[in-house]
Amino acid sequence: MPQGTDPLDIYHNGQWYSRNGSATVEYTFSQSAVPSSVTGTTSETTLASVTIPGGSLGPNGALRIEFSASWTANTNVKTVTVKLGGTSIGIFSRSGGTETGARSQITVRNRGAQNSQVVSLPGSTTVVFGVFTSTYPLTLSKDMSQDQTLTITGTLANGADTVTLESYLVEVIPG
Amino acid sequence: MKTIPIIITTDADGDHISPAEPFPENRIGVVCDGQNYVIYEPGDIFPPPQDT
Repeated sequence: MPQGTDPLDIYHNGQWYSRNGSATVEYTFSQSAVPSSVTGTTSETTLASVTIPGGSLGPNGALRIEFSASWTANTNVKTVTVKLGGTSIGIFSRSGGTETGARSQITVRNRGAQNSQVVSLPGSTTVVFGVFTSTYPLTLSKDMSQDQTLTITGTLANGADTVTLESYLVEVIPG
Repeated sequence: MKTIPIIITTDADGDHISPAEPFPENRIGVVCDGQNYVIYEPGDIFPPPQDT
């Protein structure tokens, strides 16, 4: 069957992605290496925003978000937050005086339904950069059959500092 | 170089800044200075020179 004729197929950026039956084709949904920075404010600031089309994951699908960030090397707190549908799913805060950046990854998996997810982070509060601020694991009830907005934000404790989202990669693993 | 206005929303967690429109595709860098998003385009100097 040609792609695009199955109602489960996904159209994105001029291409069709097949998700018929048990087919699970992982694909890069969105990525950028254009640096996006915030400075001069202590308000949480959106550095990247991606719309995840409804139904693109499937009931057992997953969303993998990988990113790297850099920041001013001082002891002020710098925070990068990943949000899905307005809910923080990963809060990465650092205040190491000599650190200049880090990379991390989050996976959001549907749990047999499009409105039930579990979030996988690189670790718990004891792991460098991967900071989980509530009960582990985080579970969500986002309706992934509807469009959801994924955002990556930066927040500074001192507006004179800078935090930069250096790159991000959003992958969809249908299932 | 162009600028995109910011939108500020406030909730229990404080102020949140987001762009009033999507970033253009041909950007080479983005800096939010708390007043605007400054979009650097091909031909612009990015990153911007630091004050010394």
